[in-house]
Amino acid sequence: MGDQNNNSGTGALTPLSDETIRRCLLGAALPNEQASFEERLLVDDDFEKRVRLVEFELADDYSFERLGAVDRELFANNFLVTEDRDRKVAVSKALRRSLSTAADRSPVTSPTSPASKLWPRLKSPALFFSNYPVARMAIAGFALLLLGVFIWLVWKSPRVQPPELVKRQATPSPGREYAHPPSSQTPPTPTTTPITPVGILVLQFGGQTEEQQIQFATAPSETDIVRFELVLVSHQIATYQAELLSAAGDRIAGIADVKPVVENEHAKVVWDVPAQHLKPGDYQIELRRVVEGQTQAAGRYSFRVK
Amino acid sequence: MPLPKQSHSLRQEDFDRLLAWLDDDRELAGTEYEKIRRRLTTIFASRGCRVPEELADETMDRVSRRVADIRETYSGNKVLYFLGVANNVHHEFLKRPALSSPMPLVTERDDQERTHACLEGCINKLTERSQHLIRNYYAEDKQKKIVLRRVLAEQMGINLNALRARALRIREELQVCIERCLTSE
Repeated sequence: MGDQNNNSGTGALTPLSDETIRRCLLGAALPNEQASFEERLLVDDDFEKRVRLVEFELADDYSFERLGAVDRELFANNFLVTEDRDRKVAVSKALRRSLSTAADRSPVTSPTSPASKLWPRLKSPALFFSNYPVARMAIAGFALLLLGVFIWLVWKSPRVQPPELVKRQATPSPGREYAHPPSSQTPPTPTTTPITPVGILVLQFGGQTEEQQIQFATAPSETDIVRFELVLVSHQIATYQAELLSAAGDRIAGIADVKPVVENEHAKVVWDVPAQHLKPGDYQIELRRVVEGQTQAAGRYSFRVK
Repeated sequence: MPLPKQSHSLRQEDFDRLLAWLDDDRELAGTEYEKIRRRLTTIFASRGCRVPEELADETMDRVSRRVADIRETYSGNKVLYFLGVANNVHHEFLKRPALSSPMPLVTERDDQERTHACLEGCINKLTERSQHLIRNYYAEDKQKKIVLRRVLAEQMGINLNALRARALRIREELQVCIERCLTSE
């Protein structure tokens, strides 16, 4: 029993990513992920170390307000259940209070920082150019020129829709749409728009970002929309709220009071999002269920715009 | 390491028998006991149980009571036996009436001040390089944070994943140091 990594009787252990560990700690893992997580946690010391590090990261993300609404709720309900974790959050909050403004006191690029002597500035091209304003201006000019050429090319090229993305049409249910931040100049788009979407992305709860991608052949116009079909894990009689979040957790757009549609025994929430909101990058849609005035986490869907 | 605390509902001979089953060396057995209990707590929490520590203790107690019957015949990884018992404990927990609301996280103002004071002391105990890393790793939010971490990783000649792992290990050191500081006050 003293054997640190005694795996006898467990068979081959499934590798689990830190993202999966995170989902398990939040109580939002799929059943097969949960089973692998539990078995590995019990028999694998290195895995436990990883789990502890992810716990610290979660506590930090919560304290630095980097979690989305759904994860925040999962964190409060499923994670903050031991004194040990309470203490982790207390330290994370102290770290935030003490260090979140520390960049002013000890910036990475500070020439007076003892650490900057340890790591030569030339290792970072960004830092190198920060010492040469002329070079910086030349680069900025070149970037602007490239941007101009790109815009001209996009303007000239014909629009092509990626047919493989259009899996099936669905009629979205009406809902109240809003954009973040509230002062955004983008006008809200009614979900019952007659415009044909430039793409339909069917998103499964727990699906991998790599498998749920969309790519625009040309830059989308102001009127283009992408239709998201969020397949529900379980169908309950309720209305739903959804929020589109960037990888950094910034809220981009949202919709409320939307009713799911049922198609081929699968319930889904359908949401048309202005394509212009979707720059290349990773995104998440957080879905919340509203039952008798109470909101509950209903799922989180990841996707990538290429 | 001190031996694990024995629960009140457990007989001494059952507890001793469990430790002996875990390891011949009583000290190592105690370490193993705490390790299993800690991991079971994490498992119960990840299953959404509101009282994971209580359920982990219940699992440890039940295994203790059964060791006399199974120690001669049980083969395989002993830790997995705990998982089987934990599943039973969990099933029974699910049949209990649900708790009304989650326990609120209450941090007194004094605790915050003490934690903050300990944090400063603990950061100052780190090496210069670790201090630089941790101060910059936690310095900024959102977009600026991403840029800052990229520059930091570049400076150190490592990728973002390695930077994250290093920062979290230092974060773990800080946690241990702060908890020690708080209890010694």
